[in-house]
Order: sequence, then C-alpha cells, then structure tokens
Amino acid sequence: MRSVKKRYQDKTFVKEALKGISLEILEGEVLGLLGVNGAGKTTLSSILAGLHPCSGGDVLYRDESIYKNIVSYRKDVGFCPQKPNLDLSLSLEENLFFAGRYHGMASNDIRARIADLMDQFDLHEYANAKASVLSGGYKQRFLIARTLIHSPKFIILDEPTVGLDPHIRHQLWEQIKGLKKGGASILLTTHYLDEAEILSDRVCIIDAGVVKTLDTPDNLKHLHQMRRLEDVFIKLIQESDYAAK
Amino acid sequence: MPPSNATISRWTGYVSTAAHLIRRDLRVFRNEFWGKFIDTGILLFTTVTIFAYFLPSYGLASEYGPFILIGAIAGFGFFEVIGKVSLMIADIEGDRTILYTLSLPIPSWLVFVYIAVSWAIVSSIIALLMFPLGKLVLFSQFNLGKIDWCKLPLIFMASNLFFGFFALWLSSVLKKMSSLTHLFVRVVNPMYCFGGWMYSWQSVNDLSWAIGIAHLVNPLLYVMEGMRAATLGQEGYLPFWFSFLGLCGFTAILGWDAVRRLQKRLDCVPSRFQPSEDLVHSL
Repeated sequence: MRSVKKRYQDKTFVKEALKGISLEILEGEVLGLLGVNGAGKTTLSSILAGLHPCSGGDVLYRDESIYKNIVSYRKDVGFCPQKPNLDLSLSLEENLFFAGRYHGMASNDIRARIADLMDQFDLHEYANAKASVLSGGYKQRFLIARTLIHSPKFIILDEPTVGLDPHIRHQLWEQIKGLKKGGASILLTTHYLDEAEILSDRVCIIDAGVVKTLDTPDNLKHLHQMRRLEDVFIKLIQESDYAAK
Repeated sequence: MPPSNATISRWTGYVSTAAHLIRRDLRVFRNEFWGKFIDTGILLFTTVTIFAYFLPSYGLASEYGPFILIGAIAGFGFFEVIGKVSLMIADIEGDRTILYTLSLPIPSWLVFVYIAVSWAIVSSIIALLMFPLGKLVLFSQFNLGKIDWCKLPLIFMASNLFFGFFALWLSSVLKKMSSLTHLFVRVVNPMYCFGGWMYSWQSVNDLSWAIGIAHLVNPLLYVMEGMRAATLGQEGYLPFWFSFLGLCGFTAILGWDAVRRLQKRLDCVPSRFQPSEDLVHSL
C-alpha cells in the first residue's frame, strides 16, 4: 500500500479514516493489524479486499495497481469479514458449493475442496445442516472455510475471533497457523494482543488512520523494553493520546 | 473490431458468476415457493371472482373479468418485487451481507444488475403460474385465442425486468427503513392505483386528454396496457410497441440510476477507477 488515504464525507462532516498508510505484506507472512476501535483497521482491510476505493494513494499487487483489474485481483483474495454473511437458508455444503462456483471452479474441484475444508475445520457433522443452526464459534469457523474455498493467495481475516470463547479462539489459532503453513499471505485484524503476538510474523499498529509502528513482535518488545506486546501497544496508544492533547 | 479472446473469456467469467448467483437465489426461493404460490393464488382468486362474477350484477361489464385478471397478474408481480426493497434496505442498514457478493470477482455494477434480474425472475415465476389459475377461475370468459403468443412473452419479460429494476431503484433512493411506509403511501400506492390496473388509458383519455397525457409518465401504465394488448387484443389499448418500448426506456433509465446510486452509497470501486497518481508518485 502506498500512501493510502480514505476520506468519508457527509454534508456535515469529513472524516479522514486513513491518512496516508504505506505498508507491505510479504509473501507467506501473517501481518497482524492492531488498533483501537475506529483506528481504521476495517477500512484498511476493506480497501485491501477490493471492496472500497481509496481516496488517495494506491494499492499494488505484484507490482501493479489493483485498480487496473480489480476483478482479477479479487480472484486471488479471500476476505473473511467481521460480521458473518452466510446464506443461512442453505446448508454448509451448498454455501461452499456456490462460493466455489462464484469463483469459476469446476464442480469436481469444488467437491474435493469441500471435503478438504470439512476435514480441516472439523465441520463434517454439520455438512448438510443449514448455516442458521451453527453456534457462533462454528459460524466463524465456517466463514473462514468459505473464504478459503478458491485457495486464495492473500487472505484477509477481519477480527475472526471476536466474541468467541477462549477454547474456540485457540482452535481457530491452530487453523490460522495451518493456513500460514500452506504459503498464503494473511492480514489478521484483531483486538486481541495475545492473538497477534502468537500468530503474526510482523505486527502493524495503527492509530487514528496512521501507522504507529511496524515490526516483528520480538523486535517491538525489545525496542520498547516491554515483556508483552500488549504493553507496547498500550504505551504507543497512550503516547498518541498525549500528543493529540 | 471483434472482441479479443481475453475479453470474451473475462465476460464469460462474469456471466457465469452472475448466473450462479441467480441459481443460488432460485435455490433459496424453492423453499418459499409453495407459500408464495398459495398466497398469490388466494389473492388472485378473491380479486378476480369478485370482479368477474359478483360486480356484474351491479352493472359492471361482463368482460371486465379478463381485464382485471391481467391487471392483477401484473400487480402481484409488482408487489412481490416491491417487498424485496425492505429486505435490501434492512441489509444495507444492518449486516451488509451484500458486501460478500460485492467482494466476488465480478464488477459491482453487475452485482446490482444481477439482483434486479433475480428479483424479476422470481416475480415472473409466480406471475406465470397465475395465468392457468386465472383461466380456471374465469373459464370461458378468458379467451386464450386472443393471446398474441409472440408479444406476450416479450411484454411479460419486459414487465418483470421493469419491476426488478424499479425495486432496485427504490432501494437506492430510500435512505432508511423508517421511510418505507412513506414510500408505499406516497409513491407505490398512487403509482399502482393510477397505473391503469382497473381502467384502460383510452377510458381516461376519453375523459380528458390532459389526464391521459399525465398518465403516460407512470411506467406501470405501460405494463398494464402492453400486457392487455398482448393478451386481450390490441383494440382499446395503447399500441403494443409503444408500451413495450416505453417500458424498456423506463427500465434502462431507472436501472442506470439505481446502479449509480448504489455504487456511491455502498462505496464500491467504480469500473474505471484511477488512483490519484500524484500521491503514488510522491513516494
């Protein structure tokens, strides 16, 4: 991303959600995106998913602006949004089947991929159940599975574990680690600092639409002489608040 | 210059994705089909029975049954699709599940076109099944021999596509769910009542040419007149091709405006979006 800006404009106010963000997501890495509420995490991930245009700057994928052929870029992206948006009246298998079809996959390939994903996410029990019967944890798990149906090269997980109990969160962590082993690049947006520390190769802390820091969790702890990433995060946000005042 | 292979392949991909989205909607519709069919059937039966068998005893012309049947069939399609507006507004105001569709590998304008077409298909399935039911209710009063089998499919498709795009347009102009009642009372209901479902344009024009001209701004009039011209014969109605082309014109204009408004409202990436070069080069 090069100097990406995002402005929201209304009759009464103008909000600059992103104020020129530049960062690079490397191939095969998990980049944790951290920030307080309203920092711009979801805006950033939506722009990276190709859902919304940026107001300034550019997003490059393989050295080319994604806006040159946004449709082709979307084929390589798997976006798992914060709010579940499943087809509740369809079964899990049907949800996955249609998702594969939307991405131009052949029926046989989809069936094989569904079997893989059902194994990987332990969803066999619910294969023929409607998505509406799933609990919150299973819904989130299934949402990630659907995101992966077309084997995307770049995966955006927008707060995938929000509202889940610790047990389910840990299960999802294992699955995210598995995705990384598969070679995909992952942008993980989260509120949970322990999650970011465990899963991310690098973390990017944003606040009020700007990047505060971007480094590996170990380097950040070392640089700020803190034992936990959470302490680094709190320190940086407090500094930001103090500077704003 | 003929399109390149890459262009053809790209468009084939878009159409295939849109077709599967419609297929998904039809799969969902399958669960609701019988409920909707029974509801619409009861509405049709009650309306047509009263107009065809009871009201003639008060002096209403006996051929009014087939006339009202066609108006009712068109009207049910209209209200079936209008019902989708509330679902769309609730989604935009709430969970925005539409963003999943917008994240798929098709242009955003095609997502909105698919939605309108999908609604049109659903309404046409219900409306289509009302023809045999209407024949059963009216029996000999409804003369199938008068139907122009070339014109009827054309106007039937055009009407339902209009309903789909009109509902999409309503979704694009309606700002919030709480305004839905106002929309029904102030726009949809007058449009329906003055759309000629109970009278023909000719009868209004005979009354006053000014009112006749004023009626021509209502696209629903073209649905009613076109459907009746194709089903009951041309005499007494607006020329078929005038109604058909008028309807196509309204559909194109409302569809274009709806897509433009929804793209803006949902902050979609426009088809020819160019990132600001100055900022890119300033790095």
